[in-house]
Amino acid sequence: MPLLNEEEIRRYSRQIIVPEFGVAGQMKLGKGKVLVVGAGGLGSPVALYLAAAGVGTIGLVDMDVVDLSNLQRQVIHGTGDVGRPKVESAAEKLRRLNPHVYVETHHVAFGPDNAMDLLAPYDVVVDAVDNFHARYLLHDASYLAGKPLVEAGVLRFEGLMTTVVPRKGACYRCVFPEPPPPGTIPTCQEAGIIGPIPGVMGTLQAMEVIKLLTGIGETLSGRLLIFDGLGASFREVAIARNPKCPLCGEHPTIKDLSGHAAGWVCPPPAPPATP
Amino acid sequence: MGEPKDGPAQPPQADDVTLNICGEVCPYTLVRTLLALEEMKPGDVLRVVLDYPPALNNVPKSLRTYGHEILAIDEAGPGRWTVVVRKSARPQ
Repeated sequence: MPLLNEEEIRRYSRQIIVPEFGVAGQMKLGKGKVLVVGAGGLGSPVALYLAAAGVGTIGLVDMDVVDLSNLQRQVIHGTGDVGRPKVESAAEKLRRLNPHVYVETHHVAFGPDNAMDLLAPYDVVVDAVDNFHARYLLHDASYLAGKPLVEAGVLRFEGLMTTVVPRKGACYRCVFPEPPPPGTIPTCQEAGIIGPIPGVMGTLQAMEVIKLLTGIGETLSGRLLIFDGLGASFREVAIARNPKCPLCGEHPTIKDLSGHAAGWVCPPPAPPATP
Repeated sequence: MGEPKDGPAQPPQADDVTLNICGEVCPYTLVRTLLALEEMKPGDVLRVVLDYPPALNNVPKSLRTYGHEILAIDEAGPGRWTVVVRKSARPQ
């Protein structure tokens, strides 16, 4: 059996001819299984670029339906998709873009009860969620499952990302041991976001996944990358493993997901703060 | 050291693999050559027969950046050439 069929040779030719990537890189992507948690602003570019590149299996987790207010940034969905489950809308676009990719949809809330089962079949996990509750849960679950996690968060004009390779580089809790107290950072609907910010960060996440699957280049493990869209600048901060980290430190206190509350939903916007 | 183009014709060996990609244009000339090399062992020799003139420069140049060795570029008839390449011993 040929390594790639005629259609795949043409589809992937521009990346196969990149020496570091090559045929070997394409074969590795084809065998790769990536779980994207969140089919929104970050999940849109991540899933689209991974499907376009020929990642063999892409899993999508999201319990939401497409809302009109999503469309200024969640470019995988269209106006006609409003009201549809995001995973269904996204899967349709991915299959249309690349029918060689197997897309698995999970129209469920990502919670402590199903997190480990959802992660189990995949090689790499992408954090494309929109709140700290889900971010910490996904982070802990990925670490406990031993899966590399490509983290990103966005707010207004800024994005922040890192890659967590369990037991190798720093984890998110090495730097931010606990979620910020409720109310200190605007969440979900109240925060506001300029569309290209998740576009930039999600695209960078897709690049991280490609590197993790193919083994080429240097990942962001041990580094925090901060993008300032208004100033058009990137900043990088080295992060080290923290021996006191509650998850990956010498005496971890987090050994399972029992500390995560089930059934959490994004709260409605808080009233505006008074000066 | 002379350019392979000026060197003597590479006599085919019994265990050489031949890939005929006449009719193919760039970048598929390179992609098909890389795919063929992928299925060969390091040190094996591949004879690529092609008829797309730009590929005559592009393919050998790119193959060298991958670490493969160009043994010869021979005329294989009117408007046809054979690029003889030895697969790199270095893991990809």
